[in-house]
Amino acid sequence: MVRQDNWPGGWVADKILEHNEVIGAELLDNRMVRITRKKYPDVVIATTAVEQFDVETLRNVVTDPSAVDFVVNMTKDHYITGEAIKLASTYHTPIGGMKDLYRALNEPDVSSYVNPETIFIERSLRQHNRVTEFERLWDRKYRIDRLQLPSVDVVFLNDYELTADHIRKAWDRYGPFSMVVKTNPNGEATTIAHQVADELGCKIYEKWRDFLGALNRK
Amino acid sequence: MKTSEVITAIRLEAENRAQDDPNATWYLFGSALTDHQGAKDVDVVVIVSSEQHGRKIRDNLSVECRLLPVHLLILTEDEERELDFIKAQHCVQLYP
Repeated sequence: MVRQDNWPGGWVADKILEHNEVIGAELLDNRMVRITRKKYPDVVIATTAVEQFDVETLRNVVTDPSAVDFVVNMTKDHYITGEAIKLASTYHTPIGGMKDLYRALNEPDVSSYVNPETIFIERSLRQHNRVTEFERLWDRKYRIDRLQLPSVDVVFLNDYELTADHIRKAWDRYGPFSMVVKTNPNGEATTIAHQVADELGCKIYEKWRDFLGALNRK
Repeated sequence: MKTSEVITAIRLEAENRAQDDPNATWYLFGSALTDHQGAKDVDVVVIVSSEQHGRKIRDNLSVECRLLPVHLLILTEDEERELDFIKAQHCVQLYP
């Protein structure tokens, strides 16, 4: 059966060799990998596999923040608490999946990596006239304070096809929200996904401009 | 762990979850079918009889399966018809 304790380090050390900028990967122990790059300095990656990534997880995998450049969570369908995101920011150690690690390795300073979707969301919110403040409560859930309108809790999902299961899973993980925004411009939300959202009392926005417009309304 | 080991673990999971929806069908799609070595994760879609059956499978997934580098998509039969997913993504049946 699946070996849960030590596979993430080996998996990363093996798969990362496919990266164009990587010339070597050394497994330092079961969970830590040193990656040697063509153009830029070596980096040390901490690896784990958890569904919910919280502060305790971060403290377990990063015992010395100055010695780790990036934390990769091999569980594809993981989610991160807001507290863990804040602590990772103070550590200057990003948390991400394998795709994030691939992108980060193209940058000179891996530890300054931010997921492009997060950059896009937060820049749009900062530039919106109605938005006075926002807080990242979970990796994909934000509380948005608005000028002369009530605050709204919004979940941003990047799935290509947005299904009933995606909506219910987000509700279970993140608690109630009133808006779901599909950030992937391709694909669509299914009819049943919209029905489930109605049932839960939230609305799916499939187009980014429709979401920005809705922020101006009660 | 190799990609083939992940696929074996998923097949075992599918067998164990058959009690949750006897009509569920599990498929592979994406890069694991074409680039075994290079695939960073394994894409799996489960077509279920109803949304309730899908929730049951999702809730009962084993810890081992939850932690694997697997992208697990659950679609009801109606959703699959709406998206024409199996045909569009060239899915290959894994279980039964």
